[in-house]
Amino acid sequence: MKQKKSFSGNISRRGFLGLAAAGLAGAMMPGTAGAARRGEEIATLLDIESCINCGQCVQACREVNGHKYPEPEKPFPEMFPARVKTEDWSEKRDISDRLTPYNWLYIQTSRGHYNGRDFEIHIPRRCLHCQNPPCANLCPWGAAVRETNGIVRINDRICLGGGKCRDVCPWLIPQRQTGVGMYLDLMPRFAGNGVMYKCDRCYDRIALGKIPACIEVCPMQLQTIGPRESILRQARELAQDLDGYIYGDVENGGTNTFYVSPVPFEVLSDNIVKGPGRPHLEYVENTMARSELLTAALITAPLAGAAAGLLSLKAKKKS
Amino acid sequence: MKNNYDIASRWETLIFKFSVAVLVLSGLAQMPLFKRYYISEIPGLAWTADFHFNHILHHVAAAVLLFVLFRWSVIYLRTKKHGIRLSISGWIRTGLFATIIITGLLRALKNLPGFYFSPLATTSIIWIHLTASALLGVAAIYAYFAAGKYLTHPNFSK
Ligand code: SF4
Ligand code: SF4
Ligand code: SF4
Repeated sequence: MKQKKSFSGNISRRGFLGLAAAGLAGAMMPGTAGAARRGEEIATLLDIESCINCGQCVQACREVNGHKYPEPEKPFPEMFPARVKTEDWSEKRDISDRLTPYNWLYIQTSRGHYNGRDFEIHIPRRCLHCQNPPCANLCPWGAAVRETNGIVRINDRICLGGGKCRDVCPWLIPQRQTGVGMYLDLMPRFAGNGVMYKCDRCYDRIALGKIPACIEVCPMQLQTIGPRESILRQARELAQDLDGYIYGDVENGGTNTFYVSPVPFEVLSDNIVKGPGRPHLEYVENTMARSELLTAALITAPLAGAAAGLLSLKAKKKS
Repeated sequence: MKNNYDIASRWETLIFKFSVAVLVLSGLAQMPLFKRYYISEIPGLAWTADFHFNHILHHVAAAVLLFVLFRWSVIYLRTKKHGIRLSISGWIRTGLFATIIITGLLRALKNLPGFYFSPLATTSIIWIHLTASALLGVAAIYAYFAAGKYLTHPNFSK
């Protein structure tokens, strides 16, 4: 069954996903909490054509996660060298049109013309929770971690705020607040610069079997959370149904966020405001692609070394 | 010319020292400090602020180090019968090297797709790796000034 929808149509297609039919509240697939507890990867699907830019998800995220927000000590320690910039969002907590340490989700709007028609699509943006996240893999301090259920988190008690996670994230997602965290107890002038913040997928709610706040509150119920395989299947079905496109399934080697849109993401990306705290929607190569080769080298090298040792002993014996 | 009683040739020792130097440098470059302290602005040192490059460099140097260390280990284990023994300082440093290698390998495994540790394990692995590296640095400096050798030999006892 194939039905074409207009680009601006806000009719929810959850009927096609079977969720509305099943009468599920909050768009959480059955068995999600158990799967997350067992360490199975969980993912979200966002049917972005349905988003009406009401901002309720942004508000809900702030309310539910507000207690995790930084309360920096001021004045900040002086930085050495002086050119190291502090980042202070504590006086700008209200900003909700970009990612900040106090705003882990915002709605991006893409307006343009595609295939002979005008479109306006709103895209809820936050961390995509990469399957093999460079932010966590390359964190030199072990503060950014990936939980076995796929949630990528930055531990605010450990993070030093060096911001490498932001530098290596293809979407530059994590945001810094100076004046908080462990660096204050070490050498605040000379190393570290606060704590990095981003969406933690409401890990604490998920642990309690609850649904992430942004998903629960959405009047359009356009997000679905569940075990990765099922969610990916649904995303593909929806994309097929819309003659549409998926973003996040292969980007950066695969993430646990699937955006589905009737307009190609390159087109959406060309028509959004990009910049600090406002991520793009372009295709991203897997930044960790070399890891397999590099790890293989580390496993082969000692074996080769041991063999070389045995050979040279043998040669010595002979001579 | 041989040193350390026939186990390591001079060029091997050089490769060993060079790989350790690269590991220390590329390891430190994992921290976002080289840019902060203008080092990456020195002509020819821009790479010190390139995280992905240093990530690869650290792995390559580690592979070289592992090759040399395992070659020596096999020769050492086989020739132990001839009276060659690790000195106390040698034991300490070997233990620290082993700790660094094991935690380093675990960290490299973690970067494989489909290989996950718990957050606590992830953080512990890197902290042990960093602590052991720092201790090895102290032990190496001490050994350098105290002229401590890795190996002892009954015929060469001082
Ligand atoms: S999107 Fe960026 S911050 Fe989120 S998991 Fe991926 S690399 Fe990390
Ligand atoms: S999952 Fe939770 S933390 Fe992430 S954007 Fe939604 S409400 Fe905010
Ligand atoms: S609550 Fe739903 S409809 Fe409203 S802005 Fe968020 S995702 Fe869009």
